[in-house]
Amino acid sequence: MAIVHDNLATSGPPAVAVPPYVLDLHGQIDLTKRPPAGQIGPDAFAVLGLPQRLLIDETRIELRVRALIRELHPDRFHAQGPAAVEDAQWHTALVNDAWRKLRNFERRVHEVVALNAVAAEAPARLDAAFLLQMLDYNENLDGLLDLDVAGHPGGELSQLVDEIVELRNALGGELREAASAWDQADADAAPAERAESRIRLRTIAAKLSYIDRLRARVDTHAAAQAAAVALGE
Amino acid sequence: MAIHISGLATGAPRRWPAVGIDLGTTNSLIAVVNSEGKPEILSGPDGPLVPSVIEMTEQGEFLRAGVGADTDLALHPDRTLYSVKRMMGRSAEEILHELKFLPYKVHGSRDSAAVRIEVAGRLYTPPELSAFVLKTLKQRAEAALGREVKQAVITVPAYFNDAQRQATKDAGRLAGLEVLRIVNEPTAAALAYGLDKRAQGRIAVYDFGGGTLDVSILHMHEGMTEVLATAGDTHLGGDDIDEAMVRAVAGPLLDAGIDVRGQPEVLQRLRKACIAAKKALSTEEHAEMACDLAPLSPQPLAMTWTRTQFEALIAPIVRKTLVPCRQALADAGLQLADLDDVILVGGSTRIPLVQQQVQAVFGKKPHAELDPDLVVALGAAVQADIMTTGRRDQLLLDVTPLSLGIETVGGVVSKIIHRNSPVPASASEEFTTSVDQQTGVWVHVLQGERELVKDCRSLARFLIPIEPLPAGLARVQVHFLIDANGILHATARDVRTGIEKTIEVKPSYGLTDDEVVAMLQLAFDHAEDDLDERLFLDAHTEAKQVLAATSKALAGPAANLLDAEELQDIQGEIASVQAALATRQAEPVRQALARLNEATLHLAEIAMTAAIQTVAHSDRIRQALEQAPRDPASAKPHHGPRIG
Repeated sequence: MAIVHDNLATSGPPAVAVPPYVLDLHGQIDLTKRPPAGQIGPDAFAVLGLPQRLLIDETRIELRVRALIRELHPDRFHAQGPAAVEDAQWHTALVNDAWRKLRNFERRVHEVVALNAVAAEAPARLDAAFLLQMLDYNENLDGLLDLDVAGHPGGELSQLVDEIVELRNALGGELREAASAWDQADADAAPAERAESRIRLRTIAAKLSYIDRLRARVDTHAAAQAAAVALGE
Repeated sequence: MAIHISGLATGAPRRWPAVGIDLGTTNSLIAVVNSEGKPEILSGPDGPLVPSVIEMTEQGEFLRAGVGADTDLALHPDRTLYSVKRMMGRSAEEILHELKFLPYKVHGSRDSAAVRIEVAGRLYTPPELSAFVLKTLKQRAEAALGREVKQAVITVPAYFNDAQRQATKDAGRLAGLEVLRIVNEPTAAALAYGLDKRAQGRIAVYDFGGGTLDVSILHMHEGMTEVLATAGDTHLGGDDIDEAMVRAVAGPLLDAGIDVRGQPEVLQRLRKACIAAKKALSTEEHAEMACDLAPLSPQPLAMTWTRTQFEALIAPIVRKTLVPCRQALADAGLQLADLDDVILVGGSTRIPLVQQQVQAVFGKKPHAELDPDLVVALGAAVQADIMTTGRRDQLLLDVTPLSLGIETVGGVVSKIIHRNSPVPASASEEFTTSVDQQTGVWVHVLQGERELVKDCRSLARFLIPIEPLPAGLARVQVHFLIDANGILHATARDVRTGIEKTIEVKPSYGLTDDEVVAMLQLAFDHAEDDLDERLFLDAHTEAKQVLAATSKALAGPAANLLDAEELQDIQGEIASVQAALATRQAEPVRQALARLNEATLHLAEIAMTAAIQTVAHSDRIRQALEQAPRDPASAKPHHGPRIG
């Protein structure tokens, strides 16, 4: 048992953040403090008492969420009257919301980018080569999807999809590298590096969203095709 | 084995038992966790089911619900209500669309978002009608437990929206119950199975009831019952199977010149006959069906259903139920191989074809050890027990079945809480003004998966007051919360001043809090009348039975053995019972009945002796009779079980 516990403690980053509410300084749950309604969902990391790290063990987050929900769930407060139940509703919603935002790597990236946003920030600037490539893919896709509806063999389409998937994987790798740099800078409390790796995260995330929109087009098309086949049966 | 003292054994003595209620479309049930920690159904003399049927008097007053009311359904269709669950939280149009052959009128109202159902000249909201069924269940539990029942967990289909859940909660309140929690039916079923660890791990619950289909995927581990995803169809149920059968029969009848469509009474009989055939076909290969077609035809309908015929007829309906199965599994992010167990809930899962198809789609033989009709109520009782006895090792975590959104420019819905989010769930949105000196912003909350406002379900509209400022300067943040019951709450905060405002969320379809309070007040004022009425009803039922038995005995040979004076006495007492009934008061009826019983003592004795002589030709019966004590009282007409 002790060994397992040791592993857990050393494998992930240490929990150092001071959450503004729900958890007190010692990581204990303070039920006397109701989170101000205006602060619902500000910092998902803080709600769970976790540092703003991206490459963290997801099972660790899940265990934390479970433990918090066990303590905070409104069903626990039934005997203490409606006000206590209402508080518990908000507390639990907060934890659920945080879990949704942090349960996978890319969502955590979005959360970190959003949390550290600078006021009146311009949209992420993407390089011209990438944007041209996207335009190119989009046009190709227009043509190929039309052909596919007409019953054209889907060889070229699947080749294009493969290319898109490959590009996404490559960007995914870049995102992990940027995430690792962010985690390091956060641990060292190095503001300059933090700002720099945040911009990298933001740029890559923006590129990924372009690619995901392409994928969505292909998926919607495939679903429509499948439905048409099912109806034809 | 130590002597078990309840109260001491559980630590703190419980003041009131908290019950679990399955408020069904056709039948309802009530259950409680007993002193051994096991959930049990509280049955009445007619079995565990309480028909969700409400009968009104000719004056439109509540007469009775449950057993008795259902037998009068064919007798007084105009003042006997059924399928009230389908009206809960619905608009007048929806109700009319859903229940095509309603023998009563549905009214929308300008002053209230709740619809009213007109029965014998009086108006009732669906929650009030459901409250009558809940009260009947409550009384059953109180009679069985000998204690007052004040708290309940009530189940709803997982796919119920906010308005339908709120309406159910209101019904509980109107019935004098504190609703501890609204629990989804498939989730409750999983709790019942999880109790003895019959089912563990990742579970699929397939709940095919009378009116709705729900499929939930849950994860049960370390005392946590966590719903991962839920999917379903609110317009798919055993009723559709009945409907398909009725249509299949009505077609050939029409060809034979018998049109049942405009004849609610004949249709009702035909439906009953089809349901009986459907039930028989779950165990038999053939089912005979007979139905009186009067007044349309002197010849009754007689036909035979084969299971093959039946299965061909319902195959499209069953196939439709498999779509949400795949959907729920995908939403839970699971593969078929990840599933550990499959549970069947709802009467329609007794159909062999349904069981086969469910097994095929999930690739697992489904569990069916617990009665699919009872399992939801049992699970609700488990949850009620968990919540009132403070068992900290058990916790139920559910999800919201539908996305919550707000109307944005151009009639488009912007989703702020997505479906299958664990509840309680919250989201916040900031609003500003578009016109100078604007003093408020209307917020329109919707539920559903579609993009456009017109395709989603309107939950509520409310006005956020804003202090007059130049356009775009005001900033108000609105926080939406879906609570553990799946019910919406909203609060607003002025971002500039930090002042919090409470918003009255006016439901689009349903009762406001004030309306519920007013109804409760009314019910309280009428509580005495209600009690009197109930006592009279009991006496009335008893009197009818006694009168019927007496006239039967008077018509028989036994009456010849009475002298003229005795006969006159009996006739006189019969007249006074009838006179007492006209007063609509319980006490005079009871007194008259007691006198009639006295007067018929001799008649009953003679009738009994005569009856014995006719059957006593067998030695074995004679022996049995000789051993049995002779008690003239036992020859009195049988009094039916008292309800209430």
